[in-house]
Amino acid sequence: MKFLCHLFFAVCAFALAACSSAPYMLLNAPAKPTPLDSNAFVLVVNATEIPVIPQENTYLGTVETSGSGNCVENSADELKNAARSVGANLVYIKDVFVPSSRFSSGLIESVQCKRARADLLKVELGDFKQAPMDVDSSGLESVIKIRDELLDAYRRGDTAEVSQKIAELDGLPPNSVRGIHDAEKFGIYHELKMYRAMLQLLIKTFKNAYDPLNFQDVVYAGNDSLMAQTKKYINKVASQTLYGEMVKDIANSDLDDSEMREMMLLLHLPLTYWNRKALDETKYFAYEFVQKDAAHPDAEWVQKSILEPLNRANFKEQFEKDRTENKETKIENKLYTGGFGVNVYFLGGGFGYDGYYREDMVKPESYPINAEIYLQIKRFSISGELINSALKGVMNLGFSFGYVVYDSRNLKIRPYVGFSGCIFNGSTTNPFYDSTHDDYDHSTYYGYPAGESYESPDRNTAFTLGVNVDYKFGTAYLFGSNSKFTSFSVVGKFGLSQLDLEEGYPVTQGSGFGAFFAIGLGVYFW
Amino acid sequence: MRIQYFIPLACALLFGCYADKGINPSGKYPKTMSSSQTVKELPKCNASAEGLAVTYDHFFEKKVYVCADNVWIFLRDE
Repeated sequence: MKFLCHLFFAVCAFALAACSSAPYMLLNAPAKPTPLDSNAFVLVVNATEIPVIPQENTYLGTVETSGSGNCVENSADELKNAARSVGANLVYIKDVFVPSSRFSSGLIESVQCKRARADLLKVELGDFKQAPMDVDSSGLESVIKIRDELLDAYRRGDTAEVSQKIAELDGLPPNSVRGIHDAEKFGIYHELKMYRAMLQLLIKTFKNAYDPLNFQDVVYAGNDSLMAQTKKYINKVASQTLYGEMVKDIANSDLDDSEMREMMLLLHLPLTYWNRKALDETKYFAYEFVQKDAAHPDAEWVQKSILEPLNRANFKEQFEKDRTENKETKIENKLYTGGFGVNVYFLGGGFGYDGYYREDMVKPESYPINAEIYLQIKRFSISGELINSALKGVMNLGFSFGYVVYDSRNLKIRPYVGFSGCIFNGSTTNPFYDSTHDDYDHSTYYGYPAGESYESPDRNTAFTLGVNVDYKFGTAYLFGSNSKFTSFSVVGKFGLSQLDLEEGYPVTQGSGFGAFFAIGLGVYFW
Repeated sequence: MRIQYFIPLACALLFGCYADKGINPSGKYPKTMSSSQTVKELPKCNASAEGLAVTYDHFFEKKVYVCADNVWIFLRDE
């Protein structure tokens, strides 16, 4: 019994170790992803700063960091690892939050760490590793001159000259000082009610959001009167107040309905990922534009770059969808991976060698319920078991090593070899005196009355070759998990044992073979 | 399978399907065989004492035991 207790605790310890939580939860990942190299470049983008994704993209899953030991300083690495594991090179962080508590693996755990939710995407990225360009400041004087002329035209309200000067500043070589900031243009267009130009600016800005040049430190011309004039726009681009002001102005503009819808969407876009309400509003604008302006050249871009990530924003919905739609794939992928099982056997029988007990002394009684616990690692298993042998009243108590030769949705076949001690259980039929002998051959007799229960010592042994056959009639997710399962099975156990009961002499005796079977129910956590 | 058939089958499998063939070394000695002596302490029961019947006087009770395959088996009350 002591041995079995040790074995039981060892198996439980293995099982608990196997249940340790992963650093992140991955949804909607491809069944057979093509991982990236561990050093492959992965771009991490915060959706509150860039509320669009590249139009040409392949969605490879949604990830949430677990927060268990992965506070925010580690989250970026965890997200990159998750991305590489599915072949993604863009991590698009849509939410960062601090849950007060969470239900995990059946336990309420308190979590203080920030956790991140992100889409993982495969996109065509430019050269983000290129060295920053050396800024040529030789043309700074001409830039300042054009900015002064622009400010002058702006104050006069000369929209034609404003457009011309902005075009001149935009046309400067890429390695020169940037002549004008997008926020300055935005402010000028707003003040002069140049809404069509503003719309084009917004489209260009969002479509070029993943230009590697935008991720470099850029030197802007500034600290002049033009900058002072438009400073409020630089500070307030993602502002509900600014948005509210502009909506009123745009409603009275000469934009047509289609332009109006696109403008409303793009003006609201920077607010999207700040809160749930804003996200729903942007989603409504994007949906309306895609529905009513399906033939618009930007409709596909809005659909793929704005609306699709928004449709994936509800993690709980994604989670449930992933659990429902991908259950069979997940089960298939988890076959042969291992788990922890408990089988209880109710029915059994067998046949074996004759004359294994003294029927004038005892009447054998089989143990009514047998059990087995096992830990499977990949295809290998180790079990602790208490199983009736083929002989009535004889139970094998020991451990076995198995190998899963076949596993499927409903059937698992696991041959094994077992090493056991045997216990004989029964009741005395006749009073008798059994003897023990000391070193001087003195006999001491112990009397047994009739009708008492009798259990032999477990020094008898058995060596077993057998097979476990599990018919999994039901498989469900384990608690709230989307990756761990519980299977309920009708379990069968068949085998041949070499039994040696001489140690129980004179109550049990002899040795020989016994063929046995056992049938019961099992539960398997994997 | 209907439950009224299942339960008897389950019982049959559980209690009736195991191999159950023992040996009965004392069966060849009749209950009425005579005791050769009365003892206060049981002598050694080994191959040379096989078939010996004694009356065991133990705690004011007298019972006849026979030595069968190294075990003193109860035959009858004296």
